[in-house]
Amino acid sequence: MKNLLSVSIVLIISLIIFNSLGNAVLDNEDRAQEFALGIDNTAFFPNDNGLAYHCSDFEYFPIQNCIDSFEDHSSDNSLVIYTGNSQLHGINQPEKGLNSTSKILYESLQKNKNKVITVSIPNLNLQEQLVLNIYLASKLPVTHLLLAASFDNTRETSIRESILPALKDQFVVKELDKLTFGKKILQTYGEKDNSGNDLSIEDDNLQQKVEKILDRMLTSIWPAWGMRERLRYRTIIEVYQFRNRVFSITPNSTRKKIPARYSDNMKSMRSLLEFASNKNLKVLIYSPPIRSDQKLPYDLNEFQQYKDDVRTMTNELGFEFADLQYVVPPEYWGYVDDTNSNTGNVEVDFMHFQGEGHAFLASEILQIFDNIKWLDKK
Amino acid sequence: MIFNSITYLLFLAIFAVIYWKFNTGKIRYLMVFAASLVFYGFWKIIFIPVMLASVVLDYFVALKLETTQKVTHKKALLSLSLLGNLGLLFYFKYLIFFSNNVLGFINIIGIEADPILYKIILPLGISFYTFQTISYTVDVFRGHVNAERNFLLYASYVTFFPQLIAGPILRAREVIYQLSSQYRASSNDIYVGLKRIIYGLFLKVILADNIAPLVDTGFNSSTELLSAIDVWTLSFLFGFQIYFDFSAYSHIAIGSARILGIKFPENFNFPYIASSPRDFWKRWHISLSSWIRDYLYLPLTGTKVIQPGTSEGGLEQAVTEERKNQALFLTWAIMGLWHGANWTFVIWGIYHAFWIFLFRISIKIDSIKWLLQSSFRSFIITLPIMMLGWIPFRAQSISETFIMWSKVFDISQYGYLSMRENSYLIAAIILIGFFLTYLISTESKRLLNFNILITRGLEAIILIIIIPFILIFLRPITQFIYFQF
Repeated sequence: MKNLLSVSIVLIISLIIFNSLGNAVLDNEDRAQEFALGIDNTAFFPNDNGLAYHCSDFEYFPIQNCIDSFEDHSSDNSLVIYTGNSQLHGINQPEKGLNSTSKILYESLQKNKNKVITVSIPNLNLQEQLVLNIYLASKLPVTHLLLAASFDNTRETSIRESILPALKDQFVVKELDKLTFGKKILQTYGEKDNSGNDLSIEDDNLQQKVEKILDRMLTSIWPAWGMRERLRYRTIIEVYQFRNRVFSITPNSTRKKIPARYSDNMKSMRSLLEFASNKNLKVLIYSPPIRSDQKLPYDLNEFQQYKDDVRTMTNELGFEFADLQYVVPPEYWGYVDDTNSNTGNVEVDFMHFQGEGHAFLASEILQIFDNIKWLDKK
Repeated sequence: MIFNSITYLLFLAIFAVIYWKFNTGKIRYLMVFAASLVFYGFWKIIFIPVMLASVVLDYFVALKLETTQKVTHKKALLSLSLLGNLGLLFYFKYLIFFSNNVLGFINIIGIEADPILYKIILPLGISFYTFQTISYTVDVFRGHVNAERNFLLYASYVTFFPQLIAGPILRAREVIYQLSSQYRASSNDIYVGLKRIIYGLFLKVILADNIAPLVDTGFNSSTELLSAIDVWTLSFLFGFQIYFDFSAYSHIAIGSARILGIKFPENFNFPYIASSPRDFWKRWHISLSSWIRDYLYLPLTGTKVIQPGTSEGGLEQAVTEERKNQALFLTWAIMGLWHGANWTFVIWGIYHAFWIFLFRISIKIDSIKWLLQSSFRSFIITLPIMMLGWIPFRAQSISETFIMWSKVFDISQYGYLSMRENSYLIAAIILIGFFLTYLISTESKRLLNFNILITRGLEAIILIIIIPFILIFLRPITQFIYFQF
């Protein structure tokens, strides 16, 4: 009986700890995405009186809402798909005003009955950008693609779970299959053939159904259980902060190019341009703004090489490229929570700027539209 | 049902309470058998008859074997069992692979043929339960065990849910007597069982599942752009992922059975401290290695198995070197194919056969012998060899495997890095953590002087730390890697 008593005590103490952790997170109602951005940085996904035009993936600010909003869009007018990373929805020091590039572009373009749908996801890599653009082109009468292609995101790879539903769409599968790098994406992340492999948990089997019911039941009677997703994020963030403290990693630390990932991302970009070419879509790629009052967190040669590579590729395939590195003045950038601790200290942010910074970026993009007559009918 | 889920934990809790309460006579096997069918049916009910077909076939074959005197008749009965079990395995696991290879060959000689496009879903655990029933029939044929007359008892042994999907592959003599005894789980059994389940869940949901994205990303990137250090890192990361994943399954299986008062043999014993490839296979998936030895390797060498082996030990008789070497390579090629219907697995098997063979002959060469005589030196040589062996196991193709292997031997490939910095960092932390765990687990008993109170206290602290994290990370999003075999 001593054994059972000690097991019971261990279980009770563990449950108390788990419950305390859950309640601590429950007290802080931050969304999962805001964890990634920090408290001084807000995720802003504007809409037009309930009509969604700025979405994220298949889970947060679901992309389906944007598709529903513009399903009936007239093909006589331009429909721009604008994709990029969290720079498009992140606003530093939101108390100074909520405004975003996507909002300004939307309001400006609709004067001529043109529309823009923005899709932004933190650290969106070019493989994901390829999949999302093809997916949206399969659902809507898309005419233009505006791509914010950050050098930072060439360090990322893979298609995250919240985007994978796009690979179930038959149009996407068919189009990816025509593209050199699309084939690799399908092979790696597409629906798996179950022959000779019994990993069929993806099927909606009894286990999945029961698991969902149990999860719902537990969430309804035990608040800490419902906080598990946030606890997972919080745990991972704590681990990252610990790593940053140990290795003195700050936003200014140099982020080196990762050759294999860089290559895969550039191949994805080429595949996206080939897709656009096949579908007669216009494409404008820009290298996003980065703050100019600090030492850049990149190897300068690598960064320049990246911009040259993108410029060469877009020109080669007859599309447009714009370098918007210096568009947002230093005073409109901001700061974020210290990446190394939860002490409340702040540090510079290289990726996100304040509302006014968004106005500068939007104005520059609109100017480019005019200069190259991008939205004009052929 | 998969172990890393609330569904399973609830199922086990409910079943254990019922089992403890009504643990008498025949009801015992009936409960185990019924629970095992429910457990399996949570995946796909339609495949229960396939499993039962294998159970029924070997039940009757074994009974008949016992009453048959003529050796030729006995051999015919054994062949019937092998044909039935291996036939099921061939149809579900290898038919498409085999057909496509034949068609590929036909294409090579100039006749056009399209690949087969239809799909066959592999019934979960088929590789394990067919091996289990084969071992039973062969043991009855050899006279090592008596045929079990009670069908429910025999069926409970084959389908016993903790080991049904991914082992350990149990021998009849290890389990049937336990199932038929009136032994009731003691409080110590429950304590040990729960502890094993918690450790298993920790290995799966905290370690294996969080290493998986790094491994997937690495193996999904363009192989030709990986550096030699990346290849090493990936092979170590995957080596640890599959170890944590599979040993987690074994921990939970052993723990679940123990809660019911049934003891399973161990399936892992710190494989990465092995001092030779052979030693590695005495520490890794022990129940499969011993199965392969007793029912495949020894018969292929021509050894007559005269004593009953168990999944933990066995016998080996002297046979000619040539025969042993031939059997070694053939056994490992088959062992590779057992893991998956792909040539990469055959390469993996032959890779291991090659190193076992090389160590076997090296120990006889005086100029090399000294190197392998120290267990530390042997360990330093063995570890990287075993880790590199995981590349064909995880790579998408044979060409990728050879590209990755070739990088390790190309000095010019050591000058750059192609993965995120975290991958190298995590690989290093896990490697150090593994050896520290080994040292602590082997030395702690001596250092603590077998003081039960201190040991239990330390165990309690570890459990209190890890249980909240298990609750946070517990999600049935990924299956155990060995489910696919």
